[in-house]
Amino acid sequence: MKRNFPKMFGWCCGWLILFLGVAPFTLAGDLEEVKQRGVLRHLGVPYANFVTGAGDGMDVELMKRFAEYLGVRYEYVKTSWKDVIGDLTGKKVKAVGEDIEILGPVPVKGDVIANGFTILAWRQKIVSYSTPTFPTQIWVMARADSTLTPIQPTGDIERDIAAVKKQLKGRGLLGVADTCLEPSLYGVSQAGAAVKMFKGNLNELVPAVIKGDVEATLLDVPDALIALEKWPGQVKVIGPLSKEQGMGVAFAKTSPKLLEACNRFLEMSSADGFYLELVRKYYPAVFEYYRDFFAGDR
Amino acid sequence: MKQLLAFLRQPRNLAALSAAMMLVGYMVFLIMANYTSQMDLQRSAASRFEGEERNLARILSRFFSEKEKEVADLAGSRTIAIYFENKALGMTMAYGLRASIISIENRFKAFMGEERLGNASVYKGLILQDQSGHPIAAAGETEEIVMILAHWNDRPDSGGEGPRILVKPGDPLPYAVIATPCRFKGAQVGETAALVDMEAVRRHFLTSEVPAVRRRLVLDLENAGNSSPSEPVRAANAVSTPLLSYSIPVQGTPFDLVTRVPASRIYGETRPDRLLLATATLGLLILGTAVYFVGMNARNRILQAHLKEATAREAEIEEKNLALDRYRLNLEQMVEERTLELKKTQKELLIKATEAGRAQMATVVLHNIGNAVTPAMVHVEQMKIDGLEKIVFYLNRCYEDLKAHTEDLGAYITRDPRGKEVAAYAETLIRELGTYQTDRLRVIEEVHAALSYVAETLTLQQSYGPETARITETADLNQLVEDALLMQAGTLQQGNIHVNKVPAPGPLLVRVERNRLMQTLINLIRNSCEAMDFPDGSSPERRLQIKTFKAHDRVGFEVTDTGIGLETDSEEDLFEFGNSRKGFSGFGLTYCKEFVEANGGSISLTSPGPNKGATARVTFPDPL
Repeated sequence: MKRNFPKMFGWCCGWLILFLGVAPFTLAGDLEEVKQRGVLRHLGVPYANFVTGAGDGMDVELMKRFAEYLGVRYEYVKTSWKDVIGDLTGKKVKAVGEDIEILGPVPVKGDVIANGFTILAWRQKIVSYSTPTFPTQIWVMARADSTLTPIQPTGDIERDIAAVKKQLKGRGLLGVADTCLEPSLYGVSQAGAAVKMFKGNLNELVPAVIKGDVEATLLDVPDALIALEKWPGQVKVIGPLSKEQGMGVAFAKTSPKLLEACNRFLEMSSADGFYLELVRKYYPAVFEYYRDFFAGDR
Repeated sequence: MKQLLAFLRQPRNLAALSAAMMLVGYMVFLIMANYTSQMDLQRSAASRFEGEERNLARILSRFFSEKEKEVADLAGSRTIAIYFENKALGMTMAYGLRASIISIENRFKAFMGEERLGNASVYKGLILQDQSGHPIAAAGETEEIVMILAHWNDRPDSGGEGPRILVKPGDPLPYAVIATPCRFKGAQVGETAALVDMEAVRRHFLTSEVPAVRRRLVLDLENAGNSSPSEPVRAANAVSTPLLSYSIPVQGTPFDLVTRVPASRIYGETRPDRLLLATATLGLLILGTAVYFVGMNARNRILQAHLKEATAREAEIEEKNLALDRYRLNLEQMVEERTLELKKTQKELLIKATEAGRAQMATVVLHNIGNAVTPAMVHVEQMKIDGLEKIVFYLNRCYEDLKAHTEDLGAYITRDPRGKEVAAYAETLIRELGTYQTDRLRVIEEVHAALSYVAETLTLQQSYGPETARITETADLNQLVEDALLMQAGTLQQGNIHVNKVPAPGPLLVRVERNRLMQTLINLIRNSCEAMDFPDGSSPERRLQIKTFKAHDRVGFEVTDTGIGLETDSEEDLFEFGNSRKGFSGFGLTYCKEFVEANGGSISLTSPGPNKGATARVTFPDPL
């Protein structure tokens, strides 16, 4: 810790100078600015049924209603997993374990990230999350003819994770940098897996596995459920690599009022049944997997 | 017999009898033909009904066959296959396999929603269970399915390659289960079973529009559990059976369609033999009635004649009624015309009476003036024949005598006897002249008084003259009474009537047409004066009381006399034009009533009875 302190101090100072220098024209808009501008810019990356890329998706509909709630126009801003945080905060960052490294300023392009954005420790250092909107978990999914065998649940998640990792030694495993599928977050390299970083769209992970590019991939539960529906009998779930996680709507740290407004909006949408209808529409199976998460909404 | 032969010898009678016999024969033929047709119709109706029931059994057979196919398709669907594939891959419920079950359950729910009979769902529940009978996925009601599957799977002959319809024995049949095996990679891995709502089936297929027709599906125990071929119709019918029963196997199911229907619904309410009897009876009745009607024919003719006559009379009465109506209309028109003429005459009479009243009033004025002028004329005449010339003559003689003695006038007066008498006579003449002057002054005073009275009467009369008529003004009722009495003073004095005035204190104001109120007062006073002239010439005490008063927002006066009074029931009649106690025109009281009511007042005439006097009471609204 003492050894890392000067380095950390340097990063923080650099970040501070950068922030003070570019803040006037790079900050994401807070509530007043969004209202003044008359538009809510939704940063989205096509991913599962959150943002389908065809103009709809659970998070697209949610943000459209949020814009309506604020009384402003909705605008979808397409981005990528690599740039999504920079487009929101004006700072290009890189995850370093559970810490971040700021690489430099970038233009702010949006006010909110909503596309099944998993709440991760390193992300929480650069963005603020709303109350969790969706449950998730990271699973390992393999091709059907793979010699990897699905684990038998023990009732203890830690033991289940260990059983999965035990099988990964020497196996090819796909991950995606700067996302919840970042392999380093789950210690798979330490388990001996041959990690391979996927450069394409997250929706193309499973087809890559089926095609035989790699034996297995990391996948979050919502995407895994979609994959089991889309390619039945061609893939199989081996087991978990994480405990249950949450997804949320992310805001720049400089937009506390917009965050507050979003939390109030989510509360309202939960109360009037709108949010539950969205979940039913896009992820009907998730109710059975995460009964506790949706118990309040039901 | 002889009479019969004699009857038949008449050609007309023979022809009539022949016609009657033919008619009877034709009637018998018709009755028998009708009986035969009825029998054929019954057989045809029974056959058609049976055909309808067989058709319904075929529809039911097709329905269950379709349902078996549907369930078989569902069991072989990709959704169910995926579950077994994932399971074969080793996936567990906690990690992925549950998603397949959710898909199956969603598919089951959708399937239940899609398959409907009218508004009701065909299926109440669906279940997928593995080979050991453990449920994998379920939707809707599954308890009955599990129970029925357990019942049949325990039997040694259970199982099969295709779908089966399983029913738990009992009546009625609330549910049936269509069970079909699930296969994966050629091996049976489970069973899909659907619970069919037999109540919905019954409502849709077995409910008849005719309430008396009862249909139900019963379990054919010999075929239960397998879809064996059918048996023929087992129950039959009979004409004499009140309730018919049909039992028709439903092909490919363990059910028989059992239909019970009252025989009357098929054959009609009446049996042919009874209908034959009824028709024959009817024929006899018709024959009997025909005979009866022949007999009735004569009477009918008489009745028709009476009816014709009655109709003619009715027409005559109707015509007379019309004439009466016309006459009534003419009469009404005539009455209306006469009424108009009467009103016109009344109006003319009223005008004449008004003129007569004015003439009467002028007479009163002239009479009053005459009363005043006559004594004045007498006094003037007296003045013409008075002794002033004689006195002047004798004074001239005295003067001539004294002039003749101018020279010795003193001695003549003092010593001459004639001179002494002349002096004394002159003194007497001078005194007479003084007396004459006094008398002349008195006469002049009386003439002056008479002329003043005439002037006053004329002035008073002028104040009630036509130029001031019809002008409403405020007048003092006490003063009007005084004036009226003054104008009637001569009449009252002449009639030796004692007048008693009882005025209300202060001025008693009333807002009316002043001159017409005066006329009213005069009319009432004159009416009272006339009422005190008794027809028998008797002369009791003649008193007239005039009282003015103010009470309850009304002001008015009462004129009470001691005259001939009124009959108690004639009080109102006296106000009508033409009614008079004394034989006059009767206008006076009519005028009074018209005037008083026109000014918002009221007038009444009351009397304790005949010869007990009467009181006229007039009131007006208090203007204050």
